[in-house]
Amino acid sequence: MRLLSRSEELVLLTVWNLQDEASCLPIQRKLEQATGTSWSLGSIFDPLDRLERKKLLASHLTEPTKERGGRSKRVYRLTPLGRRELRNLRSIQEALWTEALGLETEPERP
Amino acid sequence: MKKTSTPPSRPPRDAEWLLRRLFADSGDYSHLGDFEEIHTAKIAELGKRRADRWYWGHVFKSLPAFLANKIYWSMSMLRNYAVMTCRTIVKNAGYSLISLLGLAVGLASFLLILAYVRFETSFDRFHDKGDDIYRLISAEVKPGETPGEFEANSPDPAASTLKNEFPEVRHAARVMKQFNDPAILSFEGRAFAQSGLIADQDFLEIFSFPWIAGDKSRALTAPGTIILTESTARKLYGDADPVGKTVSYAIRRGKADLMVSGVVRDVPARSHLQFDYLLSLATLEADRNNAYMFKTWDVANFTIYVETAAARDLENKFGAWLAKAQPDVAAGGLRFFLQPLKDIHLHSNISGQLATNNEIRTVSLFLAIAVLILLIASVNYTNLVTARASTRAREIGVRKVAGADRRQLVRQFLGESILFAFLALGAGLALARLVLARFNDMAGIRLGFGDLIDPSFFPFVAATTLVVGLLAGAYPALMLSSFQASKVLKEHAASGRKGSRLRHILVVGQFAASVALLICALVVTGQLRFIQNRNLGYDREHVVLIPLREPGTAAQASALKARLLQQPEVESVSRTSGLPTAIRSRMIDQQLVSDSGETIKTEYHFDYIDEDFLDVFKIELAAGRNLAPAEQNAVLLNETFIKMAGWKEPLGKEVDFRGKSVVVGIVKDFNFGTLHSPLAPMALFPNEGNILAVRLRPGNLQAAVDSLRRSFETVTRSQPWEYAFFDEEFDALYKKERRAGQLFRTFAGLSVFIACLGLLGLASFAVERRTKEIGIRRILGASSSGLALKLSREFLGLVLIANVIAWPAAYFAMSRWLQSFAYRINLGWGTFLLAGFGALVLALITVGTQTIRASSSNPVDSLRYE
Repeated sequence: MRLLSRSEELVLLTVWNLQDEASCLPIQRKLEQATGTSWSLGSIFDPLDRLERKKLLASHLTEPTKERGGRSKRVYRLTPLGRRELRNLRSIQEALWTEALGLETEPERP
Repeated sequence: MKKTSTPPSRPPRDAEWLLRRLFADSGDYSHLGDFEEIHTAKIAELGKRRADRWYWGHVFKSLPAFLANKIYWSMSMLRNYAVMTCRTIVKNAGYSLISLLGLAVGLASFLLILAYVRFETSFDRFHDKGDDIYRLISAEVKPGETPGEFEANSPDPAASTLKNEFPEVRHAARVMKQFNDPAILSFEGRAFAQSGLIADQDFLEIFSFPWIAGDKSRALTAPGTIILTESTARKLYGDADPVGKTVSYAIRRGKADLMVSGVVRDVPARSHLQFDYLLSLATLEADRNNAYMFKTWDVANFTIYVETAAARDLENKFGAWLAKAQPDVAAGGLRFFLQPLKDIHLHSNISGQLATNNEIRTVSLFLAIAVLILLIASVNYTNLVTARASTRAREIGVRKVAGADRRQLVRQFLGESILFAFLALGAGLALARLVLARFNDMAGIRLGFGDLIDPSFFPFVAATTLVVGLLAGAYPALMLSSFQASKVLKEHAASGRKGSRLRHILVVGQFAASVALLICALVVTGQLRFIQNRNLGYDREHVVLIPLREPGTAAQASALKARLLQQPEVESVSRTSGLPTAIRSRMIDQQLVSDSGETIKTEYHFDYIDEDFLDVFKIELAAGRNLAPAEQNAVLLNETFIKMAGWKEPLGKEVDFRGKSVVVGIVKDFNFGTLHSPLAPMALFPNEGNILAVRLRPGNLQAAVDSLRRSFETVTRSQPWEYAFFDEEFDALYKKERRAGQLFRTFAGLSVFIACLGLLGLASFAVERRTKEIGIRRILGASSSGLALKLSREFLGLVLIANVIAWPAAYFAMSRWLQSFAYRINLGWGTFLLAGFGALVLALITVGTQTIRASSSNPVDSLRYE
């Protein structure tokens, strides 16, 4: 199995967080809040596309709205596969973290 | 910023347009909305300008990746197209070869003709002051009429007048050709016959022939000086410096030692002035024998070139000056004009020029032929591809199913035809190289392969090839891409009948053009044969000309003549200066007294002959007698002269032709110019000339010439043996026409060949498609000849229709061309029938090879499958 990249993982997690509101802009806003760095739109489109191709995400178009110049919005939601993937990642990380924290008695270098 | 059409909240329109293009591949534009939403937010936060800048920034950031992506995929598609093209070509090797051969021949013809046109249109462009150089020409203009025939020779004082009376004239040069051209130049035993010009110092000031050595500012001022071209100098002096050396210069009139005053580079082929040497005009002026041509307005012997920036005014001012200062000259209606240097080679059909030139008409005619041949060749490609469209139906179907849209398919097939056109260009270049030497001979030019791929020329050829590719491929691309995937994949391949009407029209067009060209070629050939076989009033067969080039030989002329007459092969010998093809001098200001006592001003041609001239050339007398041996002060006139003078009793009349002469005989009119021009008045005076014209008895000509040579060499050794057949001189008169005719025939033949190639392809495919039908018909009892006829009928009908179109077009074109000849053939039905019948027979043979093979094949073979 191939692991997701960090940005894919974060985007996937954000989509889960946002529930039904997960279109590009809210995702970007959420990510910027959470990480404190700026995310360009392109750096979100790409992971979204890839995740959709890997069937971890699904999307649909909404009715066009006025403030978007009459264009519809693409809203993403997690597929069960996506959910499983995230849980899987988390368990891997936790296992590693526990092991790492067990070594914390060692003094840190200045 | 002006963005009136964009509401304040919308992103910049151009940027949005670009962005939309970037998303076009995915077909999903929802991200555009995301950008717009942020843009709106940014306006509130940062203001319109910075929001716009942000938007633009994002567009540009995404461009490089987008382009790289695009190029990657189009390259991989291109590779696929190339592979498909090659497979198609190889799979249908026969048909591909037919189109390729046709297109290659077409492109080769186009290439050669275009190079020829470029050569012919680039004459005299290398002179620095080219735009200010004019040639003085003259014509007799009757009041209220436009000038008719122009004359290139002008009288001597015209040059000095132009220079002295008109300050706007910077230089005026007098140039003439040596009468006894070529002259013999020799130095320390090395002797060469070289032809050259006689010119004054202004010649060097006006023209910029590249100077190599010597003092250019006074190289032609003194008598006895001569300028050599580089290669002439090398022949005479080897590597030594020629300037200041002597060269011995011999013509019939005399021999002189001249001093070499300068060396110029060899004259480029693209110059109407051609010379191996330039003799200073002062040399001629210093000789009292030549006084008759200087300082007089009556003898026009010089070509005068003028350098001025104000030509238009000058013409009128010079005319006005002439009317005042030289009323005698102006009264005859003689007017002078200035002809731009660049018009000389192609735009002047005037007499007395220093070199034979070409005509813009001929050049444009060939250009038209080139385009026509190219069109005929591209039609072959179009026809074969559309006829065989069904064989590619499945490929197209699969492509469409795999998601190719129509635009992509159009692009694929256009690409294919363009690739094909360039393959043909490669083959055409090879072909052109192969026949270049022959083409040069035919067109009378010198082109190298380098001229064909010259960087300033080849891009144009490549562009034409591209256009040919697009043109030939346009219809097939549209037709092939319109196939419906569901139909072509489900049913058996489409019938191939599609587009057959257009194909028929194109075949008719091809053959109409070919037949028209063929008719024109036949008419041109017929007219030339007519000219050459016409009863001209003299006999041009079996006459050998021996030039007397230098004084030693000329002194022996009588002995030589006597000796030649002893030979059994020789019938008669004349020592003459004029030839029936070239009565070279022209008197432009002659006063005659008519029967009623009026004075008529007129002009006529004249030359010098002896008492044997009429015998040698078999020219008949209409009245009176021939010149008597050693007779002086007598003259022979032609019938036209008498008609012009209006004399009732011309014989015995004493006429003042700058010295009194008695009219002793009247010769029947003969054509001494080309047959373009009508008869003109002519006078023949007795004097010793510099040509021995020898009439031989019919028999072995070569043996006779050999024995002439032996006699010549026993009498004189001071001049190398040299001779020419008079009928070759005669042929030279029509060199221009003969060349055009030969080129014309060749290219007309090629166009028929290409059209037949196309027909061959179509016929063989039609037969291939109908193999089974033919088999069934055979089984049901159709005769093989009946079948062949049935299969051929479709194509022969087309060729017949083509004839109907071609005839009126060719008739129109040719009757106009014939207008330029004073003596011409009638356009009879014969030519048209011959060309039409010829094309029909060729088409029949072409189609027949296919249909007969098919109809005589054993039906078992064609029906056995399945």
